Amino acid sequence: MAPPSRSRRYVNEAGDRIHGVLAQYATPADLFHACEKVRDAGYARWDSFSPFPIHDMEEAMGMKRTKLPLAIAGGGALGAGLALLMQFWMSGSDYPLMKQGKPFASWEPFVPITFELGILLASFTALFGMLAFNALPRHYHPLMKRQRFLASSDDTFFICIEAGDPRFDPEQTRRLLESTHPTAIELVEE
Amino acid sequence: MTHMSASEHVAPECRIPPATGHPALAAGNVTIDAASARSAVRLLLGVGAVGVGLAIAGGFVANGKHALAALLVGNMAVLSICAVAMILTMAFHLVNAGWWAGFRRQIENIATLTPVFGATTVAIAAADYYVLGGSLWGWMGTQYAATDLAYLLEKKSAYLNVPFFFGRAAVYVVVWAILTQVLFRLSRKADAAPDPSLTARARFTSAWGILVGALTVAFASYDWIMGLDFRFFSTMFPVRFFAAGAFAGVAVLVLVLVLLRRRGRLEGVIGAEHYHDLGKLMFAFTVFWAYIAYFEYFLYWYGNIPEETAYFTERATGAWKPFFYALCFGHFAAPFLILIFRGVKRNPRLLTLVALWAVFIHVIDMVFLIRPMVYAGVPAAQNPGLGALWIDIAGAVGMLALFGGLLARRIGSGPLVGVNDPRMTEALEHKNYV
Repeated sequence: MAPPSRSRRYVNEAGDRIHGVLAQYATPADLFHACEKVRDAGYARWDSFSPFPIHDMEEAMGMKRTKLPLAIAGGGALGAGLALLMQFWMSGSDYPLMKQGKPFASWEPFVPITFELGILLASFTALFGMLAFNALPRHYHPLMKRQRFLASSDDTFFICIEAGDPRFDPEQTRRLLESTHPTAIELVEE
Repeated sequence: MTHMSASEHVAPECRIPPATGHPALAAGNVTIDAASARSAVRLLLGVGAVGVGLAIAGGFVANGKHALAALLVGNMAVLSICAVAMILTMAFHLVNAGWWAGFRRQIENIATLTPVFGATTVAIAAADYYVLGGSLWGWMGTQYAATDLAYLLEKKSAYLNVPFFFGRAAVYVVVWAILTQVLFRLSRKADAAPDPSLTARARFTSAWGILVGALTVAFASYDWIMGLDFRFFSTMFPVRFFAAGAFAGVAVLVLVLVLLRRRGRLEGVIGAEHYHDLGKLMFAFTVFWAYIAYFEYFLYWYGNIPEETAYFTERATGAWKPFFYALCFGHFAAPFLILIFRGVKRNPRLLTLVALWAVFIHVIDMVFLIRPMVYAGVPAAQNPGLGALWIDIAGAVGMLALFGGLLARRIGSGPLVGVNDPRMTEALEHKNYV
C-alpha cells in the first residue's frame, strides 16, 4: 500500500490536476531495467504495466511481500475458534441432545465444522483482503482515458509515476524516465 | 517399444539449454568419495547391529512377541519412508517435475532400500511363525482355535493363511526390487552421457509402476500392520500408512540434503527455493495424515459398532490414550503451526529441526499402530509396562541406524546428482513466486 500523499498538487496549463507521468517501452527488458532505475530513485507511488507476468519483476520494482497471509491466518483462527465455541455451547450447554449415549460435549463431531468454518473465514479474508489491498473494485482510472495505454494489454509496456509520490517533480521525474530509453513519455491528467 | 526423445517434438529455438558446464555442477560439488562416507557407514551399521541384537536378546530374556513388535516398529517406520520415496520418484516423473532434478538421485537412493526393508519384514514375520508359532500375527497361531473368534478366523482364512501371506510378501519385495532398480539404473546410465530418452523411459516405467507400487505398498500395510489384529478392518489403513510415511519420508530427504550441505556439497544445486518446496510437501503431508487418521477414527467412533471399535478402544482409552493425544499434537497441530510460516520452510536449519521431529513422531506413530497388539487381552500383571522399554528403544533405534548406514553407503557409492537430467536447468533456476 502506498503512503498517503503529502505532495503539492500539480496542474497542467488547462488547470486539470496531474495524475502522473507515463512512459512507454517496446520490450519487457526495457521495462525491467527502467523499473530498477525508478526503484533505485526511491519512488513509492508508481506501477508498471505489462500484457503478461514478467519473472522477478517484484524485485526489479522493489515490492515488499504482502501482509495478507497474516490477515488470512487471523481469519482462519477466528473461524475455527468461533466454530468450536458455537458447537460446545450449543451441544454442550444450550440444547444438549442425547445421541447414541455419547457425551454431549465430545470433540469428535466438532472437527469437520471447525475445519470448514476456519477455511470459510480464511478464504473470505483472502478474497476480500486481496480486493481491499488492491483498492478494487475500481470503476475509474485516469490511465484508461489514454488511447496509447490500451496497448498495455496487447504488446506494449508502461511505467506510470504518480504525482502523489513525495519525490514526484514534473521536471526531474520526466528526466529520470527519459534516461530509461522509453519510446514515448506523456503527462496524464486525472 | 521405441521411446521418442522428449526434445524431438520441440522446435530447436524453444529447447531449454542443457545445464552441462554450470558451475554448480562441478565435480567437487556433486560427488563425495566413498572413503569419507565410510566412517559414518561403519558407525551407523554398528549401532544398528547392536540395537537389533539387543532387541533380539530381549526377545530371549524377556518376551519374544515384544521383541518382534519392537523390531517391526522400527522396520515399518523405515519401510514406509523408503516406499514413499519410491512412490514420490514415480509421481515426480509422471508430472514431469522440473524442480526435483537436483535431489532426484537422493530420493532414488532412499527408494532403493525399499526391497531391503521389505525383506527384513518377511524375516520378522518368519521368526514369528517358525520360532514363536504365530504370536504377533495372532491368526498364524493356534491360540484362537477354541475361542469365539475361531469362526471369524475361518471366514477370513482364504486371505489370512500362511502360504498366501508369505507368497504375497515375496511378490511385494520382488516388485519393489524391480521398480526401484529399473528407475535407479536408468538414472545412473544418464550420468555417462546425456540422453533425454532415458528420462522418457523412466517416465514410462513410472506410469505402470505407480499403480503396481501403490497396490503392493497398500497390501503390505494390510498384511504387516493391520493384519496383526485380524478382527480389525479399515479401507483407509494404507492411505494412513502412506500419509505417515510421506511426512517422515520428505523429512529424511531434507536431512540427507542438509547433511550433504554441511559437507560443502550441492552448493548452488539445492537452495532455499528447494527447501521451501520440500517444506511445503511436509506441510501438505502432515495435514493429509491428520485428515486420514482423524476420519478413520471418526467413522468408527460415530458408528460405534462393537466389532469395529475394539481397535480404537485399545488405543484411545486406557494406557495408550496419551499416545493418541501426543499424535494429535505432535504429528499434526505442532508441525502445522510451525511449518505454516514461510521463513521456517526456507531456513534449512529450522527445517532440519522439524524434520528430526517428524522422524521421531513417525516412530511414535508406528508404536501406536503396532505395540498395543503385544499385550492386548493380556492381564495387566503380565504387562511389564515401562520395564521393557529398552527393548522398544533398541528395536527402533537399531532399525533406524541400520537404515541410516545403508543409505549413507548408497549415497557414497555414486554421484550425488544426476547432472545430465534434461530438467536440470529448470531445477537450478527454480524459484517460488509465492
